[in-house]
Amino acid sequence: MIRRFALALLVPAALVATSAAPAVAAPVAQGSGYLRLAHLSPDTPHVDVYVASVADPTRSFTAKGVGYGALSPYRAVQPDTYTVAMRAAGAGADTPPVLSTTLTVRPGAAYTVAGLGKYAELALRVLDDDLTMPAAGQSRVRVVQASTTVPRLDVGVKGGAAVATGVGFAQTTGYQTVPAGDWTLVAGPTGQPGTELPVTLAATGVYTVLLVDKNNALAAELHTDAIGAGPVVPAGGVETGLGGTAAGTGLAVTLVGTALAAASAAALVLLVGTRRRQVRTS
Amino acid sequence: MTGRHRRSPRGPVAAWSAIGLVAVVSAAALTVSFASSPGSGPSAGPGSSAGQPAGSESAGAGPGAGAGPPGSASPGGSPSAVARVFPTVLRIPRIGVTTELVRLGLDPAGALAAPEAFDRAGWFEAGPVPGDRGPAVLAGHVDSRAGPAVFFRLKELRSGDEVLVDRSDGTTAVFVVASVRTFPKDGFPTDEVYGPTPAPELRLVTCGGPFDRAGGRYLDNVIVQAVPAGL
Repeated sequence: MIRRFALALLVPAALVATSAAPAVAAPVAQGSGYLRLAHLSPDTPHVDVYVASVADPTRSFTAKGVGYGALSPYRAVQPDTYTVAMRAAGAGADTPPVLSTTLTVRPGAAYTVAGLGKYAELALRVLDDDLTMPAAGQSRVRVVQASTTVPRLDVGVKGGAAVATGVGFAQTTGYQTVPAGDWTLVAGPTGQPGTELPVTLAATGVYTVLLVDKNNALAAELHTDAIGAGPVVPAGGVETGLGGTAAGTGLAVTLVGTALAAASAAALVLLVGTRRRQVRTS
Repeated sequence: MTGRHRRSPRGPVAAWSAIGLVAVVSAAALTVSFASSPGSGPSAGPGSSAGQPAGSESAGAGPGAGAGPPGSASPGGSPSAVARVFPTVLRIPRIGVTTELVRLGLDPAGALAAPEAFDRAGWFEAGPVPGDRGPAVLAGHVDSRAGPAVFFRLKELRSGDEVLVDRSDGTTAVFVVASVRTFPKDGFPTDEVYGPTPAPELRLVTCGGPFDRAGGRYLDNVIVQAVPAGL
């Protein structure tokens, strides 16, 4: 606990240092980011989660009474640096948090902030949720392992490829490419029957398989992190104009060009004429 | 691999919805737990009716998934849950746009086909419905040979401007403009426009930049990115 409180004290100090910079509060950003919160610590009681913006307190929000297994929907947040602090449910907002971390949200990016591990080793982890486009016809799947029922387990497509192997409690994996389609995912100890989860994985889809304890048994959930426009993504741009209002092109360019040419020709004539006169008069 | 899926609302989500983590189609997870029955309390969210994309479009790679899932006996779900919602009308008050939406597919070259009519915008039908999770893409002409078309004033949009899309299920998806940018068509940002998003987003696309008279086409695309209102 001492370590945790030390961390909690350090974070506000860092905030004071950075908040000296002028706060630029755009009314609506040039693209928001996305944030969701997860409580994945089986023996940690309910918590209140405080998300506070460094630059603009109006962007702060609080999630109250969050219990184990909860993964919130995404919330759009302005690009900014945030502190995420967990307090015991009902604890005063001015009490020291049990845990806190900071997070810088970039435009167009998505993050999952998860309390992971058992209470004794509880940590707030910031997961980068991958929003890049999967290859054509493919989806992407990762595993977040918050179940204590099995020391290490494998997750894979039934009769197909592995998504992750030997994943221990409180571990998360990178995203694996899985062909889009209807599949049954299997999660369990290596070589043994596991929990089956029928899923539909969309092309352009990005997913998290969340493993949790439910009634002292392993449960698997599929969460959609993000979806693209597909299954077949259009190539290139769109032809949406025939030029009827185009300025500075076509006829207009010709006219301007002609006018310029005429003007310069006239100037030349004048210049030559003047020189001639000068020659005569001198 | 017949894959009849149960779409089970998750219990914990209900607790979270109380604190206002909204405006995003809920994580509406497909949950199968041998140890417990599904929780109760569907989480509300705008446009959450069609939680999964392109229900009947088999995504090509799925073996045996060619046919759609009509009449699937989803426990607890409404029988007509597979009837797909579509967008009907686009409204952009700031630039005086109100247009019915036609449906757009791909041309033979694999590019997004523009609407045939100049006074209507269109929706990329294979992608998400506006208000459902993912980037919904609408395209419209900037002009015809004769003069301005439906998206002539699109580039006047600014951050914060409201964009509304009425849907066939009677709901309206409300977005606010996040960015208005111009890209050369030969550098079209495909991933930014069509790539995965965690929430319901909207893209509005038209032409812009210089007009290539010889080719009879604009060289750029103007792309408006909009995000769910209520940040």
